[in-house]
Parts: sequence; C-alpha cells; structure tokens
Amino acid sequence: MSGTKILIIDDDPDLTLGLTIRLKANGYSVASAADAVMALTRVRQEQPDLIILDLGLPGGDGFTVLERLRANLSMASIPVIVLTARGQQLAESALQRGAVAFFQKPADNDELLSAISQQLAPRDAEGPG
Amino acid sequence: MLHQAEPSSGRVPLSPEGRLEGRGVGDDLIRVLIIDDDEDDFVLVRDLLMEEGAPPYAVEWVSTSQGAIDAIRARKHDVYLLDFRLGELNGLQVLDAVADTMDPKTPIIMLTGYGDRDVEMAALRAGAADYLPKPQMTAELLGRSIRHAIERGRLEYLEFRDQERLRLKDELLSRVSHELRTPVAAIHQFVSLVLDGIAGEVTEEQVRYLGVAMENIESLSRLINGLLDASRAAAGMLVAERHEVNLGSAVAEAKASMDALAGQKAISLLVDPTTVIDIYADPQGIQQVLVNLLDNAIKFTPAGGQIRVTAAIDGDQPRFARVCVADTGPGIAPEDQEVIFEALAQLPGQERSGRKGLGLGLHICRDIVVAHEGEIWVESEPGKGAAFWFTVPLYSLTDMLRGVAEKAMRLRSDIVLYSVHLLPRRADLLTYNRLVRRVRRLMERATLPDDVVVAGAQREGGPTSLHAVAAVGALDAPSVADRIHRLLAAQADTRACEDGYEVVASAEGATVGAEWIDETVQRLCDRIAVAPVRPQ
Repeated sequence: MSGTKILIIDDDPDLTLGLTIRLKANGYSVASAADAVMALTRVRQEQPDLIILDLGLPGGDGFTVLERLRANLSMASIPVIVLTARGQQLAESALQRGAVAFFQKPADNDELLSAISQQLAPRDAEGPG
Repeated sequence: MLHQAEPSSGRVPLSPEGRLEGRGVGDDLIRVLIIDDDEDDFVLVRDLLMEEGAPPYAVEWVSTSQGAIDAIRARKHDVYLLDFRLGELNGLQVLDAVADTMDPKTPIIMLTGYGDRDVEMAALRAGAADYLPKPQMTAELLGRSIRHAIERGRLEYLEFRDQERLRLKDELLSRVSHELRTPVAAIHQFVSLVLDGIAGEVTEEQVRYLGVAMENIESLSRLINGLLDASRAAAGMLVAERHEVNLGSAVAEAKASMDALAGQKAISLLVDPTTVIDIYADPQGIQQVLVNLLDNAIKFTPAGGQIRVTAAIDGDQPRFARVCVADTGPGIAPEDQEVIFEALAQLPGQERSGRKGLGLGLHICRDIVVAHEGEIWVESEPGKGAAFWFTVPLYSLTDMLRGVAEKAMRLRSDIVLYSVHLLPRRADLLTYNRLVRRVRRLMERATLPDDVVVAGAQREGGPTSLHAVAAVGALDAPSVADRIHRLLAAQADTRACEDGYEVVASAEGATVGAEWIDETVQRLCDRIAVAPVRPQ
C-alpha cells in the first residue's frame, strides 16, 4: 500500500495538513494542491492513484476540476472523492460528473478511509494496468 | 387624449415595486402603451379602449420598435399592447429584446392582424401575457385581457418577491454554514488524530477528555446542518409541493434511512402495518418530519430500547391522519413538553430535563407540520418514554375539486381539466415530481395562480397519470387547455424521452352552474380516477 499516492486538492491548509497526517498514518503517500489552477498540473506531476477534491476552490469551481479531469484521457480513470463544506444537495451533481463518493466536512475518518480503500482495492488486485 | 409619447433617451429609474406593488384591477387609471406602426390601427385599438371605458385608460402610443423597447424597459405603463408587425423588428423580436427585464413579468399583450398558431405560441413562450388577433377583437375581450394580464402580473410579482426573499435567505445560510463547517472540520481532524494515537501515545484520561471534545464537535456539526434545514422549513420550502403521498411508504422510507443508526445502539425500530392512507403533503417535508422524530427518538432511547411508529386515521378529526413515534427513553418532564418544539433559545430549559441536544430537529418538525395545517405534540411521563404525535390532512380529491368548482361558480368561470399520461415503466418518482412542478407552473401561468389542483392517478408500481384542474378566470376553457397543451408539448419535445412521459391531449373544459357542483365534482373525480393508461 505504501506506493499508493493520494492527491488532496483543498484550499484550507489546516484541513490539508490534518488529512495528510491521517492518510500517511494509514500508509498512503500524500501530495496536495491548494487551488484549481494548480490542481491539474499537480495531477500530471504526481500521477496519484486517487484524488480527494474540495468543491469551493480559489481559481475555479471544484466541479470544473472534476470535468477537466474526466475530459483528460490520462486522468479520467483516477477515482475522485469529493470532500466539501458545501451542502449535501451537491452530492448528486458531483456523482453525476464522475466523482465516486461524496463526503461533507467534517467527514467521519473511518468512513472516508474505507471509501478510499474500496476504490483502491480492485486496482491492487488487477495489478498495474 | 391623443398624444404620441416617444420616451426620452434617459431611462426612468422606476423600480418594479414602484410599478407593480399595490397595482391591481380596480385601481383608478390603467396606463396603456399601444405599440403599432400603423396609425389607423392605433386609433382602432384606442377607440376600443375608450368604448370599454371602465376603468379609465390613459393611452399612449409609440410607433417604432426601438421606442417600444425603451418604453418597456422603463416600465412606466401598466400594460403594453404590442403589434406583431412593426418596422424593423417584429413583435417577437421586441419580446426577445426585453426578455431580460421580464422577471417579474411585464404585462405585454401581443396583437396581430391575423390568427397564427405558431406566432401565438412563440409569443406566449417569449413571455407575452396574452395574444389577440385584431379582427376578432372586441372592446370587452380587450378589456378582459388587459385586466387579466395586470392581475396576473401583480400576483406573479408578489410570488417573485417572496421567492427572491427566500432565495437570499437560503443563500446567506448556505454560506454561513459553509464558513462554519470548514473550521469545525479542521478541529475534528486534529482532535481525532490525537485521540487515535497518531500523534503519540495517549493516556486513558486524555482519551476521555478528547472523547468529550469529539462528541461536542459532532453535535456542533449537526447543528450547522440543522440551521439550513430550519430556515427552509420556516420559509415554507418544505410544503411547497403538496400532493398525494402514501403515508405507509413515507414511513417505510424514513425507517429505511434510520435503520443503521438505530442498529448501532441495538434499538429495534418497529413500524406497525397500516391500512392504505394517502395524505396531502410535500413528500420531502413529510420525510423530514419523520426522520427528525426518529432521529430524536434514537438519540434518547437507551441501547436495547424500542421505537414504534404507528399511523391511523385520526379518531377525532376524520379528515386527518395521525402518526405516532413512541420511544422507551427517559421521557420528558411536563414543564418541558411545550418548549421542546421551540428553537434554540429554549435550550436551557431542556437541559434541566436531561434531554440536552434537542435543538432544531423538533422545531423544524413543528414548522413543517403547522404549515401542513396539522398539529404536533408530545405525551410523556418521566421515566416512561415519550410519544410524539402529529397530524396531517388526508388527501381528499373531492374536497379540493369542490373548492375549484365553487370558485368557478362564483366567478362564472370555466373549469379546465388537463391530463398527462406517463409511460408506466419509465416514470420514476423524480420524473413524476418534476412533471408535477412543470404542469402546475403552466397551469398557474394560464389561470389564476392560487387556484390549481394537481392530482396523480396511482396504480401498482407508481403514478401513471397526472391531472391538473383549475378555474380559468377570465378566459374560456378550451383556449386555456389548448395553450397549456402546446406549451407543455413544446417543452416535452426535447425532454419526453429522458423524462419518460408522454403528453396525451385530453384537456377539457366545463362550465359550472350553481346546481351542478356535486355533479361537476363527481365527473371530475371520475375522469381523474379512470383516466386511461396508454399501453407502451
């Protein structure tokens, strides 16, 4: 699992730090981006196995990031989990645009971690591909 | 009286409120702007207005499309009579050019030299209040059309203003709760990092203290969520779409969404089987009431306890259903039984009774139930659990149709029945609710807005058809029915496939005489109940 990389896209530094520590403690390696403009560059650089995406970002809506990811061939297959302080009513549109899960802040850590491992499990089983 | 009034280039900064508020049929003077490039036609229309006479009209005239656009934007008149044929632009293009100022709606009536269905529909879709072919125009028809357009514009404006107010409040609360959630999420993460031993070993005492912090963080985040719900409930947003709801299914749905939570505390959540009861409610609103009551019961019921939901026709008020959520929790002291339904301000009182944490959930329940014309109360003895009761009106098509029939009789108006048939296998509840809203809106545009009954015919496996009934006010039923049908069909063209419904023309009109009320109601009921289902 130690080779598994997660990219956090969130503009709140405290939250990003806390989540980074949490994910590292669970054996993941972690990278982060703080705005929508940097997000795609970071995805390209880091080639993460999974992305945790906030919806309210400076420099562009999280939905835009989601759509750009989906439109890009090399990034389209990376699972995206939305983690946002915005309302639950956005869950449907996030899922429609290709997110695999939706969590409202503050999220239950166990639920978040289990959603992450669920997304990564089939990949591990299939091997690189 | 004849004077040509080309508006000056400087726009008059008149607010919509200045124009519309308090302005309705019955006020002294109706300011009319005739927009026509032909002076003979202007004279003809003006003379018709003079002939109609009451209420008095102040008539002005512009002859160019640019003059028309400027005048409509300036909103100095109560109603605009727009000729289809103008110089450089036609009437539709003028409507298009002022479309951005049409919300709230400016009453514009399109006049034309000839009857053309396509132009009529295009005009109505572009926001015209009415469409009159000049050859058939009489003083009476014109007067009625003007009064109708102004009155509807006024009602729409009031509705628009209310909606706008709700929207702003909702947006403010959305932002506030977003701003609150972000720091709460950071606190939550760091406390749990320490608590889970990720930052190093924690003593038992530290775990205990942090556990208390954690519980409070979680209750804070629930309160933040409740804030938005409370505002929506108070604003009436959870009673906005009332129609026929099966109470048994609503209870089952609420139970399903709370089963997991009850399971965590090993609480058994029981629902007594009920006979079929249909209530007249907003499905989302009623769901919120049930979920909040269950959530509250789970919160205060000790592990291994029991919660029981029952529903029946109210013995005291046979037009209401009565629902009970009974728990085996600690109960509520008599002096607190009133205040638990109050908002946050009442919290200290509840802490005395040992039921801390009762914040907005019950308050929201009360707002929604009261807005449904029901009642909510609690019966409890300390130590013996609590039973929360609420009542909600039964769905009675007959009563609602009677209301329409009586109104139609008073106004000497026609009744219109408009039916839409759904493709059985594709009509899920979401589609159905969207269609209910769409049909209701179209009906409200074509009739008087507070006077529309929308009913669904339910069959096994879900709704199969949808019927809207209304008194049509000044217009006659066939033309209203025709208009709604064309508007819906125009919208449905592009959406019929994805929405899984089909528009079948079955609009009909009826005129109600005083002695025919019972018969009319019965006939409408029959039509709705036995509406044919088209095979797919």
